[in-house]
Amino acid sequence: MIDNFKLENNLRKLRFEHGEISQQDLANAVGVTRLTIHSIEAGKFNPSVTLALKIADFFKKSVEEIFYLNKK
Amino acid sequence: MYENNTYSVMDSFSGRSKMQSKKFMIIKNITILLSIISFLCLIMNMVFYELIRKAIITGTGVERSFINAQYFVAAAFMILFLFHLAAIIMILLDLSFFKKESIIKSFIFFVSIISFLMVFGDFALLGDISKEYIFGLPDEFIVLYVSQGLHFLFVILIFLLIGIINKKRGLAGKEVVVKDESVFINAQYIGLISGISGILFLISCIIFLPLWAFQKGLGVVFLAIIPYIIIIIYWLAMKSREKIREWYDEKQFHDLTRAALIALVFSILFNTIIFILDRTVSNTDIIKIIWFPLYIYLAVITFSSSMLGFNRSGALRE
Repeated sequence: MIDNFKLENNLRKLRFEHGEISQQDLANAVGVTRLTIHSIEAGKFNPSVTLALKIADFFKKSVEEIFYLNKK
Repeated sequence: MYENNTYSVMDSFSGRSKMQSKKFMIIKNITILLSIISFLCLIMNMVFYELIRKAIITGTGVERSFINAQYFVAAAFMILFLFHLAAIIMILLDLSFFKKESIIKSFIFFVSIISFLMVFGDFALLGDISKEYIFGLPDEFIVLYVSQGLHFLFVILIFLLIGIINKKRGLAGKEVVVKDESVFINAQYIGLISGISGILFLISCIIFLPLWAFQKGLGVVFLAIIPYIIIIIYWLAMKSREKIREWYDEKQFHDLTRAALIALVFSILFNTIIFILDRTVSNTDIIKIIWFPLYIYLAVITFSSSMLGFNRSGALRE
């Protein structure tokens, strides 16, 4: 079965809305490397459920407000 | 919840960062002093080596040359040894303190270990020269001069590194990094450099040395992997303070498993080729000698280049 969906996110926009925090600061807050945050923003890496929940908790938003599926 | 944890971590980082900065500055200043003295010692050693070499060629005053040189050369060896130790410690502290991936610093680390090992090699070479000179000009002089060239290169690279560090001093320790992977990435750069150097050295030995000499000195071929082993041990020593499940974040683990899969496929292909060659080629002496070092270096190149390739997607700054 071909996967027609791509996971996208508003992470970069949220970082700038929350006092322009850097990728490094967000990475420190959720316990991952800066490269992981960069890869998620660039759509090159899909976070695990745990990491997605940690990011949502940090921004005080639901997971669906940050991550969403887009049909290819 | 995360804000409180982050601030307490950042406070402890600030304190640790100041202590690391002080330690780093002390090592850096010691290295600067020893590098200047070492540079002068290397020049002095070259003068003495030429003195001895010319005395051997002319056949006159050889013993006097050895006697005149021995104490100065011995003192120079001590200084070179201490300089290499200080420089290696400085490079390792720099890699973990600045938390930046750098192929230049990885290359300097590689040269530092090889140059350090060659200091012991110089000692052995001079011992051989002192025993063999009666039969004419020993070939060890060629290796000795190449080794001195490497030591000179290393001193110059350390000056370059100190220049880079002084330029970026203001940035040191300012950015708090809770989860760092720069040492691991630098280890992959070192793995790539070690692997390529090892292959080139192996090819040179096959081309320029007779098979019996190559087989006798096969251990030397593995020198190039030592910097990679040392940096991996250093990384493990740093990680030993953490729980194993915290060694990697999820993306690092994802990249690691993919790189390991590629390395596994390579291992199977390589060993299959060696097996077929061993069964089909009549003269397999060279294959029997080189297969293991070739496998080690190609495996390291495969794994390190895969890790760097997968990591590359996150290499750009925001």
